Amino acid sequence: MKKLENRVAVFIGGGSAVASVALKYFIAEGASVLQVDVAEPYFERTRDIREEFPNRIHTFLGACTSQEDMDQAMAACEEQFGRIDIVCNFAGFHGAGDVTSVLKSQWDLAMDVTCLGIYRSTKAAFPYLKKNHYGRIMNFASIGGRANRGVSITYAASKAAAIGLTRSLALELAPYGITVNSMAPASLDTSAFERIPEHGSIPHEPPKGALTGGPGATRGGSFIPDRPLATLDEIAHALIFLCSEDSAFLTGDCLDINGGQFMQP
Amino acid sequence: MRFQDKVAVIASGGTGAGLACARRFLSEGARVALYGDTEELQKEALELEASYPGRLLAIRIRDYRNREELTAAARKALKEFGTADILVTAITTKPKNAPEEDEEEYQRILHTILDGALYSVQPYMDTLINNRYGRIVLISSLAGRTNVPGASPAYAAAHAGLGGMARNIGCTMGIYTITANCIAAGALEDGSYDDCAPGACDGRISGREKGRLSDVAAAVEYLAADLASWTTGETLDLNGGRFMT
Repeated sequence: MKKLENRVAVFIGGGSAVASVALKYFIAEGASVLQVDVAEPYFERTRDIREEFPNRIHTFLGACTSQEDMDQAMAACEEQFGRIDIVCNFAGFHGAGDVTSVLKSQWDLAMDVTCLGIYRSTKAAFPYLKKNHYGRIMNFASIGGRANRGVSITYAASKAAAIGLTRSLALELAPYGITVNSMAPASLDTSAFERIPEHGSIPHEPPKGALTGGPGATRGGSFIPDRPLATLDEIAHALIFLCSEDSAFLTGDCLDINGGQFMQP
Repeated sequence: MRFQDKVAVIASGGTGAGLACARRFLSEGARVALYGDTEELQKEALELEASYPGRLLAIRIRDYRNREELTAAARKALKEFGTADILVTAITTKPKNAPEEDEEEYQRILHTILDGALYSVQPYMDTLINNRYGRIVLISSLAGRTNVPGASPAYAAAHAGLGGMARNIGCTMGIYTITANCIAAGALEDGSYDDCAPGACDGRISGREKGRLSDVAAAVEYLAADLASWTTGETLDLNGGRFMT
């Protein structure tokens, strides 16, 4: 039995590598998907599957930094697919800098995309989810927001904020039958995808003595040998769980996916 | 058939969650060894045996504190199915005089919950290590995660201990590509994991204040899948929003 039969999902940041692989799994499990992203080149990554399923995958140009864009995206989904069941917030902005060097522009962008983006899309989707007394919201966070890890201050703070926002939204939306969860993977294997530079990003210089990001940067390292990264298929598996009826009793939780690099109680 | 070639061992005590997991795995093509500690569970298991001939082995356990008994159970399961891939422990017990338990009751609670999980899993480790594959899921209670009014101290300690055990197994066995994770269940429909004041464990989701046993089975399925290969040492807080961390 398919896990997302007749469900409709909106992917915010749907052109990302993670979302591009997740799309295959969502389609296989019976869902329809509206991919939302800021520029057409992102959608090139999934051209083939879109051509194969023209009635089940649509695209929409919009940014999670704009409430108006998010409102229009959700309205478009409702119009094109007749309902919304799932919102996956993939969009994030890394940013650069440490406490002494971080630029206000970098800080603002990270918070605006990674944290407020979730707020905006949720706010926009809420009326449609409420109507069906059903919803699954998935917020893509990171181990960078969970553990001491040599990432930029913008990343650490905005990802942790996203996880905190997840809990708050979970509590607030529980009475409407809507679950809200996050996931915190460690480093991902995106080698199959050509990198599209983040708009507004600048190089990140770790401060002297800091552990640089990447596998093993968290004390403990991975306990699973021979590979340091999560595959995007492993991420997709967790996404299916969080976005399906299988997770009906799970809300406000953050799934760690890090090969044992960080195990918190 | 998501678990077509898999063998799952489910050690169930004091809860209906183990049976729900067995049903789930059987429906997805797995072979299942189901340990049960009550006549009722045995009866249900025998019915399942009839529905899935040759695919379910029901084993009666008298006492989850008994290492010899659990070792013998594993020998029986391995003889029947030849291997094991997935180990699920759903072993709990209701404290009798919480929070005023005496020494004997304290020991009973601690050893049933903690030793039960360890002794259920231990005899299969050679097999998992040889196979360089394993999915271990320990089901515990919300009371081991946070303050729950009315919970017995021994119960809270034992269930918290299961989280530590899962992290440790994930840590030491990761090198064999064996994962170990924990599910901390809140209020379930059969009340098996909420040793607490009435309603103190309830979830917040409208229509899901109590979790279904099938919700636990679904979470176990998530952790037991091949593609959960990068998830280890984690505790899934399955409580309908009662506690979030």
